Order: sequence, then structure tokens, then C-alpha cells
Amino acid sequence: MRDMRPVEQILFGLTAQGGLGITKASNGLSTYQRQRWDHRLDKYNRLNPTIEANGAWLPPKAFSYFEFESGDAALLARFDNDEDGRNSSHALVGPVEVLAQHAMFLSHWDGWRVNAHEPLRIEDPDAWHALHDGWLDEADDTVRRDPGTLELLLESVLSQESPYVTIFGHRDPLPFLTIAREILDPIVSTPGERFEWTFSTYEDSDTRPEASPDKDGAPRFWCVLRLPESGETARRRIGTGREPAESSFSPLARELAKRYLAAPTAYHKDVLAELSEVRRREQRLAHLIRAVQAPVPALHVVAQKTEGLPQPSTPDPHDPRPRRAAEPGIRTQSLKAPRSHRPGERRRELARRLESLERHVRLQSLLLVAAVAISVLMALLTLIFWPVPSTVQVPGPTVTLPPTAP
Amino acid sequence: MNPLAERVITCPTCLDKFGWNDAELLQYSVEEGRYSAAVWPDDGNPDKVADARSRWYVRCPNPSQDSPNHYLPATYVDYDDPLVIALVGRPLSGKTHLVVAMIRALLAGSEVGTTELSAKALDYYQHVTFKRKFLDTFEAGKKLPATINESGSHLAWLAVESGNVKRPIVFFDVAGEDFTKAGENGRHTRFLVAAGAVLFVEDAPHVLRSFAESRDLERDLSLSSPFGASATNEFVQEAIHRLPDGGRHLPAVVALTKSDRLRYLAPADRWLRHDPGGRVDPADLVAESRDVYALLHRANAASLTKLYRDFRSCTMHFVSATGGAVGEDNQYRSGIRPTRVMVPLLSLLAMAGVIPMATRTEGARR
Repeated sequence: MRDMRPVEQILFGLTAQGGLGITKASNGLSTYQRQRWDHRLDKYNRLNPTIEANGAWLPPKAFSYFEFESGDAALLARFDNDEDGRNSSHALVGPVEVLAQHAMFLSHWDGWRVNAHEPLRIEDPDAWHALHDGWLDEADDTVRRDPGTLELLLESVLSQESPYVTIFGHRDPLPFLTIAREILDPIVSTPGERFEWTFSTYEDSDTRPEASPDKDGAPRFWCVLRLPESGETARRRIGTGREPAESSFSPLARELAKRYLAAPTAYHKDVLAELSEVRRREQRLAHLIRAVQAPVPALHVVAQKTEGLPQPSTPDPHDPRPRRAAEPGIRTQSLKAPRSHRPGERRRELARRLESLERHVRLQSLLLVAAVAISVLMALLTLIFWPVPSTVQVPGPTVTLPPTAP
Repeated sequence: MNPLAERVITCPTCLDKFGWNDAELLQYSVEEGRYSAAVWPDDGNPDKVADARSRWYVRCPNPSQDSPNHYLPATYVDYDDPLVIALVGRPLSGKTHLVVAMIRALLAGSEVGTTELSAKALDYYQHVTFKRKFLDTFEAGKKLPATINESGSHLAWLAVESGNVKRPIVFFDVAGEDFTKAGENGRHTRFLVAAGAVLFVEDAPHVLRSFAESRDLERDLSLSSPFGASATNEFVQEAIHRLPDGGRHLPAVVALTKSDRLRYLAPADRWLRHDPGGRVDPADLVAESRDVYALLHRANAASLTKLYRDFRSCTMHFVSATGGAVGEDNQYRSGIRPTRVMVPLLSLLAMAGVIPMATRTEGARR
């Protein structure tokens, strides 16, 4: 059992000694640890602009998440507050077990410090779970506008055993990475082998030595706005303006994206259920590819189940599968709280229900009006055409008087 | 068969020496970011082959196996061993702006006067990146991006020719902080071991704080040191410690950047208006070095005056890479006017033997 260390914080900015360095750090970090983190992160904490035809461009903020062989992790937020060539940055450092589950969900955390001399906000990482649903909704909306990029990203992860990818041409790639993680993590993270969803949302080049997959801590997903004209990269490049080659994984990528976007909440439970007996990554992929290729594909059947009003994906207490939290070596998912319906999805479901109800009500109203009209008409017709009863001459009573005696 | 095939060369990236072998020529794919076997022109036309060769590469075998893959231009072997020029100075002192202004002037052929010095890019693809990122930004009157921390990566390399001398010049420019950090076990600054010349950079506001603008004081906290110019320049000290034998045998220049702030201060004003006309005049070099030294001495900038005493060949210069300070919007609103940026470079090249000997010995302090 690993020692669960807390998450510490470090701010980087211009120092009194000159140049970029640590300006503030939480009390839990010793001098040695501060120096160690400085050495680890100093090659990543510059925010260099991309020079485009119409000038230089920088994102207002960029996030990078690193995992090191030692089991340490760092989530680095860099801010475009250029002070004579030196931006500031804010790092959360701590154990992989804690940071991995939150790394993609903290873009709206109000504890980020743009000013490298502001006081830190110390917070329990558990509080960050509250940020997940809101960010997922936002990411959902972004990805729905560009599902092609998502499919490209899914294919690139599925088709490589140990993917290291450069994503180019996107100014805001974090939503795509988030949804890709939601879709693929139940597949590529297997019991005993967690997939590292490490990333950097903005860099100026993928041919820098620090981008090399051989470097301890180099993120798997490395995003650049435009490709450099020189230097070597060991990463696979995917992005806008490049027609992807159709591979044997492309249909699966499309199907998974379709399923997820149709019912995000049900997706996770369904895929886990489907792969519960398949433990290894390659076996899982083979299983899913077979399902996609089958004449009556199992995936399609599953997908049909989710159409219309999705069933709530509540955890099954009788599920024989061991809880992932209890498994040694599983880190990301083990600490992730089971996700309930997200507010955005609930809204969409509610809208669908209301529309359906409205249609029903409208139809019933029409039927009622028609029925009333028919009734009125019938009444009128009855009144009009009701036969007048013929007058019957009732014979007067005949009274026979008995003859009276003379 | 290339007559130079057996030549032993030094790789400026990994500093290893190895026998040149261009049996496996490679071409670069911008789209993939990878090198693959070169495709020779169909008809074997020598002109076409020579043109293609200018964009081909040879993989450095890196005998010590201590560096990631790196590649040398196939034409690298056509030249003598490179002259590695190391830029040394504190963060934000203007090293990158100065070296970009120098390279711009060198490539343009302006300000080289009678030295018959010509320069061209040696690594075609790297130069495309350098041009887009630095030269074009500079031409557009915008502030250059800060230098990123990268191990073993040079900023630019050029092939220079002057008379019979054909030599690559490699400019190494790292972030100032890297001189004091032990990151990557000092690999960021390992280029100092191979340095053939040193360009020390200090900015005028750090020497004469009264000439710092309010923006400088607000943003650069190091300007608030109570010691002022006499504060220890640890960046220069650390770099000298990395140089073999303290680098005393190497040609060195001290460039006082941002000297446009001193444009109303004698004798800086006179030198800033002095047009050398591309000449490397020994008398001028001595006179300017004397005036810079005097100004540094008056300001108690001991770490810089010590350089002049310690290095056997050393000159000192007033320079301004941009001619003025950058605005709040990172633009040089009144345009960029590099002033005297070629003087320290020509002095360095003269002392290193790249341009004729006749102009080098008398000017430098010996």
C-alpha cells in the first residue's frame, strides 16, 4: 500500500535572483523537494508563442500533466502573463493516485494563481470531484461540434500499443482529451495496467528533446498549434487538415464515439459489463473489433438498448466483478467516485421526455376534440332528424251504460 | 567517393568525435518529423545532386551514446571544424535579441565592410524554423520569444566564408537561469565545453541602475539588489567554471546591451553614433574597450571588469540590439534600429581567426 502523500503546490515566476524560479511553495515541501520539482518542471514551464502568419499566438492558459517513474505526478498550469519573456506557472504536485483522476478536470478550479506572488489556496483534493461534471458537460458540447477530431484521437490510441501522439491545429484540445479518456479508459486501462493519460495542451514544437517519449515524465499527448519545420519526433502526428488513413481500428473508433455521444452515462457501465470477462488490452480490442465487424454486432445491440430514454447506470451491488479500488496497481479508476447522471445529460433526457409527453398530450387533445366534435354532431343530427311522433287518434272511451229500467 | 569521408569531425550537439561516414544519407520529412533514406535525383545530374545534398543529413553516431538521436547536415564535412560561440549572461539581459540581430546582419551581408565575410544557413530545415520564429518576428518589430530550456540544442548555425576560411559558426544561446541550475546534470550548458569563443552579455540597466526604466524595475526583481552593479553575477561565474581552464585562452567579448539607454551619457553616446563601416579597426577596438571598462569600473561592476583582466583576448562594446525598449504590447513601436551589433561579432571572429589576422592582434587586450 502506497503512502498517500498530500498534494502540494508550487508557484513559478520571476525571482529576485533573476530569471524564472520558485516564488512560493506550500509548507509540506522541503527545500530538497522544491529543488527537485524545479529541476523536473523547468524545461516544461515556459509558454513560448507559436508564430503564425498574422503574428504570435499563445493560449491564455495551458495545462500539462506529468507522471514520473517514481510515482510522483504534477499538474502544471501556465499562464500567458508575459513578464519580459517569463510567464508564471502554478504546479500541483503529489502522488499519481490522487492527481491522475483530477488532471483533466481542473481547468476551472479557482485556486489557480496567475500572479506568482499571491497566497496559495490549500484545498482537499476530494473537493475537486465537484468540478468533474461541469467540465464533462462543457467538453461534451465542444466535442459534439467536431466528432471527427475525437475519432482521430480514439483511433490513434487504439492502434498503438504505447501511444505517444502529437495533436496539432487545435487551440483548445483539452475537451477532446477528456472525452477520449472517458471513452477509452475502460478499455485501455486493464486490471493491473493503468493507462497514463498524461498530456500537455500547448507546446510550440514536438521536436524538442523534452517531447521525446524516452524522457521520464514526457506526456503521451502533446499538443501544438502548428508543426515545426525541423527536428525529429517519435510521436505520431494527428490533426486538422490531414486526411487520416483508414485503419482496422477506424470503424471501432467511430462506433465508440457514436455510442458515447448517444448516451454518455450508460456508456461506461455498458462497456465495463461487456469487457468484464476480458482482462488484457489486446483481447479487449479484438473483442470489440469482432463485435463491430459481426453481421448482427453485439455493440449495435448494446447501442440500441441505450437509445431513447437511457436507463440509469446505477452500480449493481450483485456485480461479481471485484471493485477496482480493491485491486493493487489500479490507480486512476480506483479512486474515482462513481459518476451519476450529469446535469447536462439530465437536462437532455428531461427535454426528450417532455417532448414525448407533449406529443402524447397533443395527440390526445386532438382525439378528444375529434370525439367531442363527433358527439356534438351526432347530437345535432339526432335532434334534426329525430322522427316526429305521428298523432294517434285515441278513441274515446266507449261507455256502455247498462240499460236502465223504464 | 567523398575525399573527406575519413575525416574526423566534432559534433556540436553531443561533442563526440567520429569518422565522417556519409554512406547513409537521409532526407527530412516536415510532415512526419522524421528522417528517411535520401532519394537521389533520377538522372544523377551533379547539379541536382549538389542541390539535394544541401538538404540531406547524416545521423550522428554519438559514440558515447549519451544523447538522443541528432543529425548533421551532409555538407557539414565540406567545412573546417565549427566555431562554437557561447552566449553567457543573466536572464533578460538581451542575449537572444543580440544574437538574432547579429545573424540578421551577417546573413544580409551588411556591416561586414572589407572583411569579405559571407554567411549562409548550413541546416536548411533548422534555418526555416529559426527564420520564422526569430528573424521574421524581429523584422516585424516584435519582441522575441524567451529562450526555452533545451539540452544540446543550438540556436542557429551558419556557414561563413572569408578568403580561404570556410567554417561553420554555431551559436549556443540558453536561458540565463540554466547557468545556475544543475538540471539534466548540467547538460543544458555542456556546450561550454566545446566553446571556441565566448560572448558575455550584460545589460546597461544592471550596470547603471539610474538608467533603468520604470518597467524594468517593476518586472525585473534582480534590479532591486541592494548591491546594484557590484552584485555578484553568478550566471557569468558559473559559466566560467564550466569552461575548460576557465576559458582564459578563448577569445571573448563583453557586449553591454540596451546601451540605447545611455545615449545621452558620454562616452557611450559617441560610440553609439560611431559607424565603423564594417571595418575591424584595432585602434577603435582598444578605444571602445577602454571606455566600456571605465564605465563598468565607475559603476563597480567588478564581475565584468574581471573578465577583461582574466581573458587573454577580450574586447568590450556598447551595443543595442533593438535601439529602444519594447512597449507594453510587446511591439517596438518606433521600429527596430540595431546599433553596433556587428562590432563585437567581427571582433570575436577576428580573434578566432575566421577573418584576416591583420585586424585581430592589436585590438584585443593581450
